[in-house]
Amino acid sequence: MLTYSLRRLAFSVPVLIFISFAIFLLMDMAPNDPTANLPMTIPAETRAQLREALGMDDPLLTRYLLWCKQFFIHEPLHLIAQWTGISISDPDQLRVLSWSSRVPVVDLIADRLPQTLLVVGLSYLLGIAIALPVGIYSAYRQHSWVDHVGTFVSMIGYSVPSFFLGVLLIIVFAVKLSWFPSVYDTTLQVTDFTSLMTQLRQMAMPVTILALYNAAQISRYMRAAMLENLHQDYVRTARAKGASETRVICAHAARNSLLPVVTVIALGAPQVLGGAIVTEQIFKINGIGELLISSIQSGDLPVVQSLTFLFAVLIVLFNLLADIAYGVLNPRIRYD
Amino acid sequence: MSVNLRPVGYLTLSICALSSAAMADRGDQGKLSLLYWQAPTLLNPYLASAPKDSEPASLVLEPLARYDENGIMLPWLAEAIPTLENGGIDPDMGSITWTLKQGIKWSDGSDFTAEDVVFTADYCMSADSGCQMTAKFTDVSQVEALDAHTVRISFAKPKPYPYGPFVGLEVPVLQANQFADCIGPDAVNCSAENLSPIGTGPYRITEFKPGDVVSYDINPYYRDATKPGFASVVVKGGGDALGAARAVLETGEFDYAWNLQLDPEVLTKMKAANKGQVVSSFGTAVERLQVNLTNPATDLYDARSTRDGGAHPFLADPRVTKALSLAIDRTALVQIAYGEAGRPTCDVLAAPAIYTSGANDDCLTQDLDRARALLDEAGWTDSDGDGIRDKDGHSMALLYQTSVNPVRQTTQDLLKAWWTEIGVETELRAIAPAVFFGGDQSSPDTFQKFYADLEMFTNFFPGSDPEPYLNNWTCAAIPTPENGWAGMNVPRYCDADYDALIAKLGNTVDLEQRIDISKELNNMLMQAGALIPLVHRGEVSAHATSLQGVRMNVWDSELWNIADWTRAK
Repeated sequence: MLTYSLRRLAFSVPVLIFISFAIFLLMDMAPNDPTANLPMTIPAETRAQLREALGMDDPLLTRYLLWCKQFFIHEPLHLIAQWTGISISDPDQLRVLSWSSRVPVVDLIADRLPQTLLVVGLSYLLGIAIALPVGIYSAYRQHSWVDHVGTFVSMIGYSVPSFFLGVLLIIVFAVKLSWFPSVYDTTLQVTDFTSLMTQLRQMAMPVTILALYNAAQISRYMRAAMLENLHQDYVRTARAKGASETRVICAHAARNSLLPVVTVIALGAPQVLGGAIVTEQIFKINGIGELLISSIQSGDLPVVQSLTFLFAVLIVLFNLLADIAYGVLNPRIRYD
Repeated sequence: MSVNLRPVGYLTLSICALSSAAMADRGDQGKLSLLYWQAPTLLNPYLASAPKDSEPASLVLEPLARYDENGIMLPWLAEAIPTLENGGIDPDMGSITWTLKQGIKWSDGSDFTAEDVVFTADYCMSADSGCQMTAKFTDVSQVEALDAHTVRISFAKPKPYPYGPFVGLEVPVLQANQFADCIGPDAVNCSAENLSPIGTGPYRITEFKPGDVVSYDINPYYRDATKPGFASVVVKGGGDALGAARAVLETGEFDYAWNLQLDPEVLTKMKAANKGQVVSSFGTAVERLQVNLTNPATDLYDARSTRDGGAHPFLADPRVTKALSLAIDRTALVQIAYGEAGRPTCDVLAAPAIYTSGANDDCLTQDLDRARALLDEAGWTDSDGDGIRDKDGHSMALLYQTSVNPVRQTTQDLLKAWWTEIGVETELRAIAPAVFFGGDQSSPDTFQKFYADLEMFTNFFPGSDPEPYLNNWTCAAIPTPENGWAGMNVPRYCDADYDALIAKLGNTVDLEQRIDISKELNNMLMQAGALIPLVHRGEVSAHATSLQGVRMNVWDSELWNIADWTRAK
């Protein structure tokens, strides 16, 4: 298993390098201009100077290699220096800077990560926590009212877009009832019970929306996998030898049904770090998703490039994790 | 003299200042929350001059002079506005001398001096700095400190209007000490300095998360001991204009929301909650159709939309553009698409009021019959009975492009319907703003390449002097393949008389004469049909009913007088 994992990791290096170059090429080909959003009174010569100051006039390969150097050498060195205090190189070495804020991209991500992890991460966990029991019970009592309600709610979670649901919740709970705020305050420090309640209140609506969507997706997979397993011979055997119903469902059927669901959960996990673009926009959470979309809109290539590359890394990693989890859950699967 | 100095303005200002000072003490008004739905990303206007950045920066960084809500220049860090009369401007227009106020301190406690002003000029004018405000320093040959509180700015040639450097929110004074290592190519890498510039304004930055939120507290060294009223300010970003309007007008979570160009109906409904009010202010911005006077036909290849490719088959005829203009019901357009954010206009130079010509106002009322008659007169009739006018086998079909923006798409639909009534066929295109306004040479869709018959966008000029704006339509400003499609003369209008009059304007000092010439230039553009002005656009913001002291200002930062803002008890 270890050799397998290491081999997979080693393989992913050229894949990632290829991905990073492909992203860079795509960005370069897309019509894009970071000076497009500037006031029209700024003359063309100034715009040309700006693009030059940003290094946009350099050849493609130079820019790509510079990004590689900044991203793969300078940024890790900077991180090491920050954590350990050991500065290996001179501190002025250029890091990957955002064009629109002139701040290192990694710092921007660090600013944005807490709210994304908190809101999107919590909603993912909550979604899983709802989806698994609902999926198992819906399958066990197929066609019962629980199954019908579960199916109905899943369909809503699946089919109603979050930009609609989000605005609907805001109008009901923020405008009409004034229970929850419509704007997320990222400067809020949780220090006591009052601020904790404020934090929970401002998270309530976005977490509900995202959890509903996640739960809808995962519970459908769980239900389908359960239904398939419940009709298998080994379940009948377990019942025949007198195992309790709880044991039959939880230890036998559910464990086997989890296999495909684990893949779905693992492959969906990178989106936790990727943020939720639409929901973040609606509630002004300003997490990673909002950073990505606003950078795309303002033509901020270093941010878009670095973020999409990090997403690629996460997807490759979680693919590997899903494969490893397979082996752990199902002893019949061996990779060596 | 071209300065709008109005003693009455000073008087009212000082009365206002006195009365609000009597009402409030420094910092006794609590917290102020502002919502800028386009989030600020960089608080140094020299590197980020869009209003979303320069306005939040204006709480901290201040210029020598700024504009009040009527577009009148006020001395800010300077004692007075230099004029010819008070000797601040050299009689031969070669230099301007600013006298700075005494006793002003930076928020770190150090003194504000002439050296800071000199440094800021160096900062922007040094090569490879990425400074976006170089146009404000055009022709500046030298900036020198005569003493600790006197700065002289010399120009390479006589400047009838020398109020470029350090006037307005985009060109404030930076602290020399803080930015000393950020000259030239290093300017763009000074992350820490750009994140938290030290200023002389009423507030200082306590925390800035780019693209998310800026927090401020009071500058302890602010020059007025009774101001500002609010103890802390938060500028939150993110979301969209609709959500921002809702947070002020419906839920009351925020005190102020900026830039709310929304469907007028939506705003009216939101106002019904009685939590806030909508304010607007009109500057120089005019939404206009640019008419392609050259031929954009695809079979011309490289000569497309250039003067080498020849004149446009029908738009070069002023009767046709006049007809297109007369077919538009501007009042209805404003009511449907703009609401409080617009007024009908027939002049591309629609403000300041002293500069408006009014000679073209016949287009304010829609006149379809006259439009049809003009097209008939020009020889364009519907000879084949398909409802579209034609002449010599050429059909009168327009490609009309603009950027993606709900208001613009509504406008496109309305205009298309009106033009159909006079027998003109219109094809609509909407292009992503980053592409349309971007300077990407490889893209055929930029507004400067103009591979279309008509295109629509807004342009404006900062401050109150229209000379640089009118310079946009000289022959030299035509975008061509040779100059890399640079230049703002998008209609490709070229008239020797216009150029001669522009040259005359550049040498004219007397304000009355400058006004007359400017009006004449505007009329020339209108009569040639190079542009079809549609709407004089205002800025719209909303503030909580409890917030007092807001004097909505489109000429400068909307937050220009934030030190005077208070909350009703």
